[in-house]
Amino acid sequence: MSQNSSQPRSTREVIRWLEEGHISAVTAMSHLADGFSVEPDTGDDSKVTATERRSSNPTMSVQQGRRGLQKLSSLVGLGQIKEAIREVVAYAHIQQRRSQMDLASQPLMLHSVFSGNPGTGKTTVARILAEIFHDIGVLERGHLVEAERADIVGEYIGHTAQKMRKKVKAAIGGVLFIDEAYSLARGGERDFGKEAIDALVKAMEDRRDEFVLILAGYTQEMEWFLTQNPGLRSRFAAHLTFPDYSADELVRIAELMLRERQYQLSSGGQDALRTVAGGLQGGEWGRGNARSMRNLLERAMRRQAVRLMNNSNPTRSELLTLHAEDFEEIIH
Amino acid sequence: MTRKCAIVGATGCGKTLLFWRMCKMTKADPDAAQTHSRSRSNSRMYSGHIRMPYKGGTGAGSDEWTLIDTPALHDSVQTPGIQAAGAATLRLLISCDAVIHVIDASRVGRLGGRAGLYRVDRAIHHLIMHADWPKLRRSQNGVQRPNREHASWIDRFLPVLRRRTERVRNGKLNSPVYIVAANKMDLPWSRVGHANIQKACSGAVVLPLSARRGDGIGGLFRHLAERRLGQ
Repeated sequence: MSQNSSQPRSTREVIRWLEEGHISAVTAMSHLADGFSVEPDTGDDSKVTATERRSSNPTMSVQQGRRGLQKLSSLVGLGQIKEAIREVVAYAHIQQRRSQMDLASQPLMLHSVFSGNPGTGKTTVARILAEIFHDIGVLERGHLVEAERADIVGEYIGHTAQKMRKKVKAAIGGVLFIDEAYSLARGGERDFGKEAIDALVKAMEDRRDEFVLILAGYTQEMEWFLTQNPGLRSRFAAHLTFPDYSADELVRIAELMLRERQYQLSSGGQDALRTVAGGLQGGEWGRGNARSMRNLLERAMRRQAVRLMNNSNPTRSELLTLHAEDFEEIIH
Repeated sequence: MTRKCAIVGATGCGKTLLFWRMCKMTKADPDAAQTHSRSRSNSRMYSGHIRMPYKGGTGAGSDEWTLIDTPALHDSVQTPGIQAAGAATLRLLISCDAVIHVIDASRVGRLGGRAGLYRVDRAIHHLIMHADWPKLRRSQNGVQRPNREHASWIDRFLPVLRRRTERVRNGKLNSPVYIVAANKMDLPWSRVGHANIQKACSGAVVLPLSARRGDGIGGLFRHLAERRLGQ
């Protein structure tokens, strides 16, 4: 390409070179603009140079995405859930990269259904998921908007769609998390919940890649709910069932919670905790439930406080430690 | 007098959709003689004759525009057909009165920073903002700087050539009206993209619009009408 290096003399000459395939349109325009220096034609089709690629968000996000994923793996238990989420995240990330390289990419379907008993980590996982999606560049803002029946079902005709639109709008760029979603379909034929479901389905289609919808609720009720609108089930990419925590997992969760709050357990306290966890798992105080675990721990902490009130000058280790007797009231 | 307005841009930014939207909104009848699909190997361009819906208080003169949809510009050397199409587009770009430069705002926002803009986009912006337009057009048309006396002589005797001197007087030799259309504002990431385009295309008017939904096209017309007066 001898013409490429030499300076053209006129506009006509530039256009002739372009026509004959000696220079690209970009080079031609830079000649016309006079003194406009662009990177030399490398011949490859990628539209971005290496430096630019480094400065754009998707690459930075690999690091950040890991941070979100680390948060996910630091959760106790939930093995299958974590695996499924890693799959979804990897897929979303690769589709992003593909479209960045101008390869064909599938439109992302990230709406999910989370089913499981209360306190099994649905909201927590949803919040982390929003963060990960934001990090890898799928969601613009990555926040979580929680909604329940009262937030989206209206009181008169036409009110529901309006309320729903408001919620969806608030969730744009993030995750809309509807807890106990099955309650939308409850209430019979003349209930406005049906209207809410229709509005929801429409929003999911119209603004498919602007927000991620997560419906959550008890397993059986969610199953029933998904049969209520024929189009509903197929519109969700992932159906994740959150298992109840096992007694061991509950103990580990409790230990994490205690560490966060700067408490320790005496050996008696540890035995008592195990008993409590077993009781939780057996369904005595609410099945396999991290939230009940937290409530029980807080009750034990209050018991400890009452116990120490009698002591005029508690030591540091006394302030730190929970004993078996603090759990007594709960167990018996 | 009919003025030429070219719609230019990189691949897949929505030029043709915008073209059809503008034709439809003005009830224009685009060149019915031609088929309306743009194939890659084809350097033909499609034009529609539009009357401005917004007069902007012009009074004298006509507000007729020929809107021309062009094939995409590419940033590397391509097949002969595409190269020829590129040459035709550039020829038009140099001679037209207004340029609507369409950029996919959603893509820019999604890819972030400068990476979202094609090199073609940056080149178009640079060409229009920084080229020596009078020189560029002289060298394209082979016309010398207008000579007043000469012009008035032509005025009297040769009505055909008179049109040309009018064009010269009307500032035809100056740079075209330049409008950057941040398209696809109905898609996610487009607001970020719009901001990025505004940053990247300094000095240009950036109008957010959605050719698909038809939002913001009115502003585009208004702008064309107003800017033409300003020249």
